[in-house]
Amino acid sequence: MKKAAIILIVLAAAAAVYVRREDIFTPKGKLIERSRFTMDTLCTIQAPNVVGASRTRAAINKALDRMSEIGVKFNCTSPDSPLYQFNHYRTPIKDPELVALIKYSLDTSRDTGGANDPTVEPLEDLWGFYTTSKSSGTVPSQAAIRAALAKTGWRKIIVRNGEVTATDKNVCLDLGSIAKGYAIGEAEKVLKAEGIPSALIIGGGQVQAFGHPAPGRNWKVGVRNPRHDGYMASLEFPKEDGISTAGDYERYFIVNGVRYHHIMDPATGYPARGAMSVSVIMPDPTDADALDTSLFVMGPRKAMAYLKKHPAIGYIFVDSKGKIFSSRGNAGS
Amino acid sequence: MESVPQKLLGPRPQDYILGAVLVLASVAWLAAPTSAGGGELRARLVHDGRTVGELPLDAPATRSFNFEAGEIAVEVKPGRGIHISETHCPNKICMHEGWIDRPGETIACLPNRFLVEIEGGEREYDAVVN
Repeated sequence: MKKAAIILIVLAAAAAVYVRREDIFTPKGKLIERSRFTMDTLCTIQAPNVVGASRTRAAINKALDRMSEIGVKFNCTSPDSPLYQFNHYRTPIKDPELVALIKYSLDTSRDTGGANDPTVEPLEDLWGFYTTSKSSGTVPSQAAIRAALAKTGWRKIIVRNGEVTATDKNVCLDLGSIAKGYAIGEAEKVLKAEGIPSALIIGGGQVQAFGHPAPGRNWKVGVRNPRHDGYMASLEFPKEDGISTAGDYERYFIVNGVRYHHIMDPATGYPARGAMSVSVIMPDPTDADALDTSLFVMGPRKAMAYLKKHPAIGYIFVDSKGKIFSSRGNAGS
Repeated sequence: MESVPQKLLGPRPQDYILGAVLVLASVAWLAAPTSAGGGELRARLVHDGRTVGELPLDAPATRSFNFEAGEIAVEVKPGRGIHISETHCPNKICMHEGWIDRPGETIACLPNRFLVEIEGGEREYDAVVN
C-alpha cells in the first residue's frame, strides 16, 4: 500500500512537471516570440517572460488572432470584407470599426493634401501590385491610366450618420495603407489588457515597441538601407514608440531601367517619384502607417514642409537620389 | 553456496528516493526546452510554421521546394548570406529583399507561406525593418 502510494506521488509530481514544463523551464526575462502570416505580411510579436511563459504565449496568440481578424475584415480582396461588398455591390459600410478608420483615412487625405488616398485601388490593380493580381510587369497605356484615375478620388467617399457611401459608382476603397498600423495598435491593446508589460510587434515594414526587453535595456531596431546591404539607422525605443516605412524596393518591376513600384501618386496615376523610402517614427502606429506613404507621395520638398509643421514626428527620408534626411542623428548610408 | 542476506533483496527507503529522483530527472530532461540561441550562424527555413530545413551560412548551398505558389529556391553564399534565388509567385517580393546574413533578419514569401530566418550568434537588433 505504502509503496503504491509513493510510486503514485512520484508519477503525479512527474506529470505536474511535464504539464507545467513551459512555465517551469522558461527563465524569467527570456524573449518569447510568435509569428504568423496575416495582414498580407509576416507578423511577429516578441515579449520577455515576465508574467509566466504560458500566459505570455497565450497573450501573444490572442494579439495575433486580433490582427488576423482585422486582416480579414479590412481585406478588400476578400468577399467576406464589407470593403469588398462596398467595392463590388455598393453595399454601404456600417461596421463601426471600419467606418471610424475610413473617416480617419479621409481626415488624413485632407491633412496631407490628397497624398493619402484610400481610393487608389483601381490604379494598384491596373499596375498589378496586389498580391492576388497578376503582375503584368509592363507599364499600362496612358488611356488605361486615365481610365483608372477617373475611378479614384477620396472626396467621392461620404461618411454620414455612421455609414459610408460614395457619390460615384466606380470608386473603390482600399485601406491597405493604414490597416496594418491599426492592427498593430490593436495587438498592442490586447497585450496590455492581458497584463504584458513589454513587447515588440512587427508587421512587414512596421515595428511598435512598449516597455523594455530587459531591465535597463531598450528595444533596438535596425533600419536597412533601401538600395544596398547594410543599415542606415539604429534606433532605440526607451518609451512606447514605433517606426513605419514605405519603400519602393519590395513591390516593383523594372522596364528599360526604370523602376515602377506600388506607391501610387493619386495625382498622376504613376508610381510616386520623389523618394526611395520614408520611415516615420511616432508612438501611434495608425498615424505612422498613414503618414509614411503620404510623405513618400509628397516627395522631399512638400514632405519636409509638412514635417516642419509637425516637429513631434521623427523621420528618415531617403530621396530618389539616395540622399538621407533624418530627424535622428545617427542615420547614415 | 553462500546465500544473499534477505534484507538486501528487498527495496530500501533510499531506493525509492533514487527512483523518484531518476523519474523526475528524466521528465525534466524530456520536457526542458532546447535552447535555440548562440552557436554558428544558420538560416532556418520554415513553411507554414514547420521547419523544413536548416542551412549553415558558412557553406555554399542551394535548396528548392515546391509550395502553394510553385517552385521556390534559396541560395547560400558564404560572406553574403542567403537569398531567394528563384520564385514563381506573382510579385517576387521575397526576391527583392536581397541577401540577409545577420541574426534576426528574415525574408518572407507570403504566397508560399515560406520564411527564411537567420539564427545563432548574438542579435544586434530586436527587429530589422527596411
